Amino acid sequence: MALLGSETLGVSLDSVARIIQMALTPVFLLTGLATLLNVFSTRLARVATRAEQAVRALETAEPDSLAILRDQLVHLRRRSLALDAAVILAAAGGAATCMTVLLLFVGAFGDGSIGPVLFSVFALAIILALAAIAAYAAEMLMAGTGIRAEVAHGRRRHLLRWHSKT
Amino acid sequence: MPTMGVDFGTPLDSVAHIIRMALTPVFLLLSIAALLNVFSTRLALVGDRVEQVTKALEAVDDDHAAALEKQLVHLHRRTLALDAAVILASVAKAAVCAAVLLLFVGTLGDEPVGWALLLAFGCAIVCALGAILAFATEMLLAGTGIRAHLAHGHRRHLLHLSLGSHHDT
Repeated sequence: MALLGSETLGVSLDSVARIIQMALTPVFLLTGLATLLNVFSTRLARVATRAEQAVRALETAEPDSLAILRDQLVHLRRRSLALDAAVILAAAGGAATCMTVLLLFVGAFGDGSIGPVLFSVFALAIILALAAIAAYAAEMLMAGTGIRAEVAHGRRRHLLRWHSKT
Repeated sequence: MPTMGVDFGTPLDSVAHIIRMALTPVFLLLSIAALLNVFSTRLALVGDRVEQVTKALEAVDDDHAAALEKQLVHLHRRTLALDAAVILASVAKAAVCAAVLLLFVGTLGDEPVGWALLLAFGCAIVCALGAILAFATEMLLAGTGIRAHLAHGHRRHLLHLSLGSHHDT
């Protein structure tokens, strides 16, 4: 890259085209992160809807289901926190990816050797993407646990009602 | 483009070369489109919420109205951040398209477009960066809002409970 920079003081089209081609991998990563962000924000919207429902149900709940609803709210809160973390991490990863492309430009046309910086920014982007996926996986596990808890609760209540009837 | 290219003998090859060079900008276009998808979905959601809150505001008692007003202000702030994100992403898209055009012009014509190409692509990347940052801001605002809402619901519920027990005694 430094070679390229010293050779082209008047920027030729070919050199710019080559740099843009080099930016292909970061741009691909950006596409991946954008897709991930799409998934995260959809789930976050769903959690928000659920929270809305739970808060509304809390206002007109009978005492025996209150504890369950409150558990649910705590659970939803935790899930929204995990998703928030995932979104922030993915967005930071996207920002780092954009920075990588910019640094690629700077490295090709400036004369400073920014190899280590470029490397660490790209590595940072990958690590952030990894962390976002991990946070998302944690959220998914929480959601699965919550669904199963709800199913178990529903079945218990049903059995209880059945017992009291007979 | 007065002389119409250097290798007039193999036009297909040169065009294929340009199209291959345009791969990265086109991918950038794709990722920005995906981002715009996210932004517009969220903007629609925020719009729905505003609708709900406005409707709820019409038929509500005073102690709840303050919370709703606060929510409206919050939603307003969120729409501003999302608008900024959408505008930045759109500008980025336009810049990417300009970069592709410059690539064409530069290869087929004789004008030195190196700097302009670099500028267009750089502008696209910077705008994409700005859009992502605006979106992150909006997400942070939204998360804070959800948790504030949960806390408010919880508080109200506790209030109800204590009032209810007062009535009982």
